[in-house]
Amino acid sequence: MADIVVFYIFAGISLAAAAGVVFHPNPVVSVLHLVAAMVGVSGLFFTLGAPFIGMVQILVYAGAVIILFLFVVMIFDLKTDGKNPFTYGLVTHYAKLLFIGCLTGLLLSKLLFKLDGFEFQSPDPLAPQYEVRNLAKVMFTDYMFMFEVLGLLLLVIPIGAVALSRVRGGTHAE
Amino acid sequence: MNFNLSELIVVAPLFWLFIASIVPMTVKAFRDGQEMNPFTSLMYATFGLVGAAALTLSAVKGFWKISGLNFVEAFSRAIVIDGITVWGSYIIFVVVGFCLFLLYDSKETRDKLFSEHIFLVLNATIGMALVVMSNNLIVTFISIELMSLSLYLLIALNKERLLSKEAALKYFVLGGVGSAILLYGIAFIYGGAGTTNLQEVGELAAQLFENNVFFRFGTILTCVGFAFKISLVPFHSWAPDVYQGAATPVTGIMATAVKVASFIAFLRFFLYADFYDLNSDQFVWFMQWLAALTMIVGNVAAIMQDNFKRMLAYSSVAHSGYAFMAVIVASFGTDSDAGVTSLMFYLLSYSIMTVGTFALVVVFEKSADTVLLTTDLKGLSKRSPALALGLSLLLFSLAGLPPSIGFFGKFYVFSATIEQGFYWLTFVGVLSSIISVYYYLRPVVVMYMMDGEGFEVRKEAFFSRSIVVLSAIGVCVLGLLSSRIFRFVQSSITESL
Repeated sequence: MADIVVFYIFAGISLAAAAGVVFHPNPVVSVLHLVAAMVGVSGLFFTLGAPFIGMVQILVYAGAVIILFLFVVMIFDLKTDGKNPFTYGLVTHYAKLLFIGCLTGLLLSKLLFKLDGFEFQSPDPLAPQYEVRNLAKVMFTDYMFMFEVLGLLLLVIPIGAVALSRVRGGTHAE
Repeated sequence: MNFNLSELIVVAPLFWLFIASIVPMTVKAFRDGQEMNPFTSLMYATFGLVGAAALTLSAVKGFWKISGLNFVEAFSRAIVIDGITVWGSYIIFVVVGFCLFLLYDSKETRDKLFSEHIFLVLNATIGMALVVMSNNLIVTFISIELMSLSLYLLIALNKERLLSKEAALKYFVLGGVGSAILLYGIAFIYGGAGTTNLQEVGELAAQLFENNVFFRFGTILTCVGFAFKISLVPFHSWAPDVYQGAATPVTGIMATAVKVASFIAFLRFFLYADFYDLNSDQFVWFMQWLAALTMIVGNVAAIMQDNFKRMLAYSSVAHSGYAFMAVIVASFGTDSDAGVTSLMFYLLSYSIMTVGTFALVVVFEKSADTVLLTTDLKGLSKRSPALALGLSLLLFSLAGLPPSIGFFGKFYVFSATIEQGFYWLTFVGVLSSIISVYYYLRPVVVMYMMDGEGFEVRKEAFFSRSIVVLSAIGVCVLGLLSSRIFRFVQSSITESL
């Protein structure tokens, strides 16, 4: 019972915050809502018995990525007076509603009318690989090669970024 | 620890390529940002590619002989070197080698940041070689990202033109969406199958595909992600703009080596799955329509282009359709070896022809702003008979006229599809390759029948001219030897030593 209450609290936080991201006219406030949504999702990970992913969610997304977004949005200094989050074209308005309706209907029909074949291979949440220590062990033995290749990927990015900034004109065209 | 030194030897080609890629940049860093002589950098890069090819061969010969099997696995079965890997990486190394010489010939890329270009090209090559080796969906994803990121940067480095920035941004955004869809699909496949190892997924695939909605969803999403990467038709719209905006040597890499790597990744995804005994044939219909639409739309759109590079871009989309027919045979036919062999042979023939035609574009490009229209080739037969003849042979081969290698590539693919009973798909393939003859022969008509002053042949582009002639000779000679080469490919893929 307590599980369900906690789940609904975190799910409610994420959903409300996600709605805030979409509907708030001020982009800075939108980004702050996104932080709240990430925190809600990370809470869900904690309740599912995946504390590592939950922590990473907070540290990486809420802590680093979203803050970067916030800086970018603030640097652009968008003027938002009298602007709606959606454009209401004559045709596109209805097209958008139609698509959203279809998608929602599809999701609801799947949820309400239980269908066969919705089975994940659900591993035991108490299995040892869910401990951070074992996660690290697997990462540096079975998946070590992938880990090293990611290092190469991260090397290519800064070198390319520096080279790009040295081209005359940089990121801007003539 | 569960890895040992022999596993590092398996991936030694990648290490070798990486070391070769950082040499020119390191020297530049120690010389206060002064570039090495471009030709020396070029030689380092070529040395890297040749060394990587030799190491691949020696690893194969050594390990296959020791174990008596025709494959070797490493890093908890994440990496496999088998016949497909060897052929795929050889095609990639050769084509990238050609494109490095084109990079040297192209004024824009040689004079500015050449060592960075070398670094990015060789790292993209590491990505491609890794895609070809990958036996695990995680490795596939990471290496596709390594390859794509290097390419985004290479495209953006092409001078400060509006077109190149548009191309880079378009490729970045659409490629990012494609990668995200691919990763989303992989996550669902992991959820359904409980593993990312391709062989283990393949054993469960047919059964899970029918019973598990999540797995089906993941498979379709992964297919869509791969379709983005190999520009199959509903997902092809980025290709012409990106091919046009990138520097021509980079376009050459994207149209050949990257396509070879992505096709092999797609092939491996299906190779171990026994989808041919599925009860529903909706999935195979979906795949067949992808191939058919790609061939029709690619060829019809190519007719309308008068820009030579855009025409080649649409032609490369159309060729994706032909090669995809072989992937369908490999995944949904009962004889998957026929599909694999014809795909490898097709990719070989396509790469040689395409790299030659892009080399011809480099021959005419005085600066990055040069736009080569088909009509600019007029009178080429008088000014440079060798180039005109070479281009004609390459275009005949692309159109699939005998006895060139392009004809035999199509021939083996079509015969494999007919044997497996994909009759209407083969019919569409033949029909669209007849359509393609029109636009492939138009430049030939312009070169030989129309007089006048077209673009001048750049005298300093020695390597590009040689590559045009070399690939034209290759197209003819390999075409005449094609049955022997086909058997060679077949034996290296299917038989053990």
